[in-house]
Amino acid sequence: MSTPGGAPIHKDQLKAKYIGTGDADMTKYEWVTNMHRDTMASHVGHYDQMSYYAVAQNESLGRVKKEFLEKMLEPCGKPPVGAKEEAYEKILNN
Amino acid sequence: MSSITSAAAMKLLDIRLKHAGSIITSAIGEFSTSGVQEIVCLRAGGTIDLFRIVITNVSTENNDDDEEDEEEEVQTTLKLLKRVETRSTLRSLTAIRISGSKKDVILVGADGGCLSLIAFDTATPANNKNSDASVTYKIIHCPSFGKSGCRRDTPGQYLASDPRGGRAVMIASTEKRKLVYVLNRDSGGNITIASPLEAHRPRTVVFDLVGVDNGFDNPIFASLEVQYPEYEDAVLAERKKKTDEEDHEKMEEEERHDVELGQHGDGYTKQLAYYELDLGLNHVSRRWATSTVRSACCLAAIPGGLDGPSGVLVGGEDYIEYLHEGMSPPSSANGNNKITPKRLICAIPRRELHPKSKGILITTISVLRQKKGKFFALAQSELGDVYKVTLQMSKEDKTVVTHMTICLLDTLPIGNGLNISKLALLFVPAEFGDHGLYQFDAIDIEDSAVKFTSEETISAFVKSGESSEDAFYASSENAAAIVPTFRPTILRNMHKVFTLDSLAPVTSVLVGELAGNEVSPQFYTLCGRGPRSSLRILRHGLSVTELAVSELPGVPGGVFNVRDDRTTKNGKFYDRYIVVSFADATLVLSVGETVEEMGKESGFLTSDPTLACSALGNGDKDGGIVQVCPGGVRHIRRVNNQVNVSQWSVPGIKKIECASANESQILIALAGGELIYFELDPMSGNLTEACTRDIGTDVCCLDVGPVPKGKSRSLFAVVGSRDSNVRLLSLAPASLLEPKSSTTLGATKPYSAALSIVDGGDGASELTMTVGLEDGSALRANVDPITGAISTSPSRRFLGARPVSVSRVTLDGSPSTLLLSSRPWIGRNGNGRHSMAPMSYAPLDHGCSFSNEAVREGIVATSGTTLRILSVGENGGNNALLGNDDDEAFNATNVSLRYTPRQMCLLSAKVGETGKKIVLALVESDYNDYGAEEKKSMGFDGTGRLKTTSKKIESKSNDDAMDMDEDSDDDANNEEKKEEADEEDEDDINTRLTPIRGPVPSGKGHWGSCVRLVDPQNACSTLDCVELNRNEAALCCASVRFHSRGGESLLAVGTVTSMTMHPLGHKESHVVLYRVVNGDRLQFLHRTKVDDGPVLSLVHFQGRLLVGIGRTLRLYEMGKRQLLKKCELRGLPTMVKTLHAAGDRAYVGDMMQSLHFIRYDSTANRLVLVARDRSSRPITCQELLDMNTVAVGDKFGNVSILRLPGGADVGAIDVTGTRALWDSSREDATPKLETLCTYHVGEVVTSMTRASLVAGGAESLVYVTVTGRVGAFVPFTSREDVEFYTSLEGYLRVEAPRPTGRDPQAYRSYYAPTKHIIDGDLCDAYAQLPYETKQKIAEQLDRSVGEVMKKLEDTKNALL
Repeated sequence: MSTPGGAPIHKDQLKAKYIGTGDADMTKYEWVTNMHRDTMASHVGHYDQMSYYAVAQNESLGRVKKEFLEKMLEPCGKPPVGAKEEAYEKILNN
Repeated sequence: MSSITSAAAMKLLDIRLKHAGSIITSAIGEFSTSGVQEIVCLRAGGTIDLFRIVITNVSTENNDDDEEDEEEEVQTTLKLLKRVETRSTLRSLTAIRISGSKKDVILVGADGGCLSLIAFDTATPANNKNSDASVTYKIIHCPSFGKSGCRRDTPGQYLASDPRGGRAVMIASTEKRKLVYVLNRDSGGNITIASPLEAHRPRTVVFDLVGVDNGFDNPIFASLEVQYPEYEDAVLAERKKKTDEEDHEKMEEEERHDVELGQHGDGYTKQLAYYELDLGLNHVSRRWATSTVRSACCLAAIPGGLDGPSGVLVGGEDYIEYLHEGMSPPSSANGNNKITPKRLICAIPRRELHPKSKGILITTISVLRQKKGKFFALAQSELGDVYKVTLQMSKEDKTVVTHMTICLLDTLPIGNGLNISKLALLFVPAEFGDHGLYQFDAIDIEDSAVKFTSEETISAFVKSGESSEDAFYASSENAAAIVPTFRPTILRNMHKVFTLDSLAPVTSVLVGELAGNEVSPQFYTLCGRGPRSSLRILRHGLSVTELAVSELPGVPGGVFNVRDDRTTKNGKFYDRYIVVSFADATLVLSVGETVEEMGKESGFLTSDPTLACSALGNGDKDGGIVQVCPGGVRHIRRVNNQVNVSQWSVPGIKKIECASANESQILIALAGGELIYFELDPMSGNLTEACTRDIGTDVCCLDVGPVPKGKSRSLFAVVGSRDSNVRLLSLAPASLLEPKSSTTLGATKPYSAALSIVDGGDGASELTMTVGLEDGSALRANVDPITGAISTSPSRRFLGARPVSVSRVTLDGSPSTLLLSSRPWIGRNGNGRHSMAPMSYAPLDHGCSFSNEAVREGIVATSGTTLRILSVGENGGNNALLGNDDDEAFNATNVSLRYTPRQMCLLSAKVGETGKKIVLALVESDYNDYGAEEKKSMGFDGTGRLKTTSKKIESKSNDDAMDMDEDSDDDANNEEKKEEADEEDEDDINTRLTPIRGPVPSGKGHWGSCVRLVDPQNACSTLDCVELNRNEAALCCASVRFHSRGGESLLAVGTVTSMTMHPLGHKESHVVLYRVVNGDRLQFLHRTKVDDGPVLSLVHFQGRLLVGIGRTLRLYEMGKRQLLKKCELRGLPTMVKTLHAAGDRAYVGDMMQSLHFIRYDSTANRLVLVARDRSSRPITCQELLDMNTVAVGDKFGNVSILRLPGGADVGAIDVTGTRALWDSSREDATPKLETLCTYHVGEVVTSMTRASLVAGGAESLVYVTVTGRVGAFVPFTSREDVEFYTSLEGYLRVEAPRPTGRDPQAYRSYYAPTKHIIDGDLCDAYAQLPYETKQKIAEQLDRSVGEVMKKLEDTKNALL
């Protein structure tokens, strides 16, 4: 990867600029979270889909939109920090 | 449809029948004309509509001149001025007035990755003063900034403009990106737009965005946002927490898990941030941020500068907060020094029955700036209650807000915005159901209404002793403990003045002629949600109001109107006589307050039939009346109150066959084809015989045409003769009765003819000839106004089974034609197109226009032996509201329902021994709602008409009436009168009825539901309604005939008990069977408990019942006590959503994983998977096209047509029976379905049905969407049509304007490339293109512009 000028772009820079950019070391949680955020944003953007959910849930559109946006913060809960993840990280670091 | 599926490729054309009703967002401003308030709405389906609030005075004056009894009635309507098709997913809208301009322009955020700036303008047509000025639009700028699509980081979701100076606009995405565009004007007055400035903030989710009114300081935008931590930080924080917890014996773990995301204490802070655009440095910075209530979700800007304190109102759950940079904390109510409240916050009054644990979210706030620096805000809650929010400023410093008061205004349908007009009107675009325009009766309601103030809120907090303000305000219990409660009632402070129709959400559609006595099929649609649910029966055609019906002594042979020259009112002529002609007599009726029969005093010859009659003269002089009888032409004049008749008799024994007359010309035809022309001599006032000509063949019909405005005569007459020719003759004095042109009709003969002057495309008037033919069709052709040449491509349309009689009428101020066959039709011109619509009325025999003071634009017609006075539209002929120009006209009959309707099915019920009756069964259910009986026991009243405990509004003095406009004082007066006079007035109550949502249960899994039986033959009246209790919800229904039980049609209903949505769960599910007794009652047969999941679909399958239960498909046989399980197929991917059956096949739509073809192997009694789809589509609906082909709609708004490849079926049947069940469903072995067509409709398609829309017409695939659109996919019948439409679509993809910068092809290929479906909307855009472009495209298609237009029209005509 490089800029139009030819200067190389660091992976971290790329990640910062284009949200949702993945890499080989990405954890499952990170990837899934990202997918869910994309989905939520798409739902909020499509009025017809929001209507569809609002009818199903019998909530107002404002409430449905708010719930979707709130869900974007933490769509899959807190990151898992069990022993498994630590072991995985160790492998990555080595 | 089988004919087209047999073709190599299925090609369909998408035609819109009814536009989506939902309004995404709206803005009020002065858009097309300075000084006139208009409303711009973004509609689902990608159109921008501009409405004007039109207020007309309808004076209903009694005819008696002595009585001064004039009633002034004001009628308020919304008139569609302009519709802009964008072909994109619209998201946000803001109006902006750029400094130095007198009009507002709109900015639209859509999915094109562009910010579009659109201006409306009024273009006055050059030579047509009669019609309204037409409104045009112009795309001023459309700078592109990102990728297309509704992406998380592509701006477009939020738009905010600088409210004061109109200097800048901010466009934001849901996450991270915010761009600021600076707007300016160049020396020529044109709006310029600078390149965007970035105000990005990573990992920040934006909830709302608003432009702060900051006077003329640097523009500031307020954003409500939350930042989430980076992944690494989140992991670290979790680790730390985990180690802490291990130390603290897991105490905190439990505590933390109690807090749901979005509640206070979940670890996130919601901030209100000010982004300042420094105009000097050309730079945007995050100037100030403060934390706000965690549940906040909407913002509104408070006027600033000299007019107010500036700042924003933040609406959240239970509270509205005022925030501004540098605001001083409110003065504490009591002197507890420990706690110093910092927030200026006020709780909202709550509904009586609302659970204390549940918050009420404020979803929209809107501010109205009044005169003299006064303002107020209206806020609407998610339940629909509208509150008035007022701020009190400190006496010393007008910019310091000290108190806030919130009082309840009224309960309205939940809206997507509140548009307050300066005319004391409120437009509420409802999120579901019809939109309403409301008139305020009172707005200064602080003294009488249920209210709460910020002091009370703050002092409650101080008293509570809670240390943290956030924690106190986060709890709904705290709010519920302090605020007053109210019970929602009918509207108290406003009333509804206008309804804008919207079907949204449509959940199901059924097309068929079920009413039993109509010509063409009706659409039965299930619409609405909760208290606004309805079954709507749509009929193609204009609605007709029947104003009077009277019996006649015989069957009339014609009806005519005679204009009254004596009374002209507002330059309009009303009718004096209605002349009804019989076989041997004429009846003259005088039109006045009542219609009365006239005798000899009228001067008419009543012993003979009348062939034509008309008032003569051009209005300023009484020219008398001409009556043409078979024996001669009679000129009736009134001289000194004496009737003076001069008669021209037919020489010899000949009789007049047919005749036509207008204000100055009379043309008669004698047997044998002799034409005689008379003209009124303007000097002497006498009729003179001007010319005679023999055309050699008997004349069937003729018409002299209307006299053009400002001219003394019509220049052409049309004559239809028995040799199947239609001739156009000149009436110009130099070439009297000379043939100008003619056209031949082939096998049929003309029956009636009319020439009319219609509004052409660009304001010019056109001459059109309409000929009704004996074979029941009508021919329409344009006539060259100079040479009299009939255009080469006349359009012909079949209208009905009877010869067509044509006459001229006026509708909506524009000339139209009335065509009567076995169905009455109206032909109109608008937007450069001609459209025909049937009238929803009984067949008529003869008709002509009719006009008097009460009915300005009516029709008088005869049907059998009755005379009827009708008006088109619903408002009694005054200001008739017709279908929008580019929509097909539909009229709807509403039947209210109890809960949100889910599905319906037709049942053929036995009546008596042999009789059969078709009834319609529907299932209704509402989540988060109590059943009807529970509601009643709680004391809830859905109509709000019960006597309430809250105080009745007292009439107030006018001193502090709403300072919106001069009118407001009058309103207050009216209000007083109303209170006194018509408390019980039913009309008044009707305008004050409002839907009230039932009490919300505090727990999860509550449902209200019922099964209803309606009679389509009797205006869909309810026959029986069975309420399901104990939170049982009916979600699907089907008609089933068990072969083992003699084939009686039973109703099977799938129910789920205590289903919850998040997470999806339920207690148990059932299949309930009902029998229809005597065609009017539901009898419960039995209930079968089914395990494995909720029942979402049922279908009759080979004399048994096939049920989709969760991931299982099961076949049931009827038993005595319950259904008997016969066979099942487990392991479908997610959940069976839709089911169809044909022969031994079942077609299963999965909620996530698209379609599966299943085959029932009766020898082995098992269900075998035949084929599945390659793509995973979340199916919402499906319709069977033939044994191998299914159309499906998915949750993303796509429609696809899938087909089983040839031969795939054979492999699935295992004759040996040795193969295991699961073998056939092995991933590698299952054949895959082919995708024949794909198309992005743009709205979630909720139901599809195959139907022909006219009796005996070709079938098409009718679909409905959640946002209320009705459309049809029409199969092409010829290769020529396919080629024409494919190339036309290709050219229009390039040539059609793109108001939001979205490529039409890319939009239709949103999720998958569009395939074999042609966008009919895009093709219709051809009519709106500039003439040069039209010409260019037509040339490339080897056709003329007229031919292309005709083709487009013909395709639509063939459908309806």
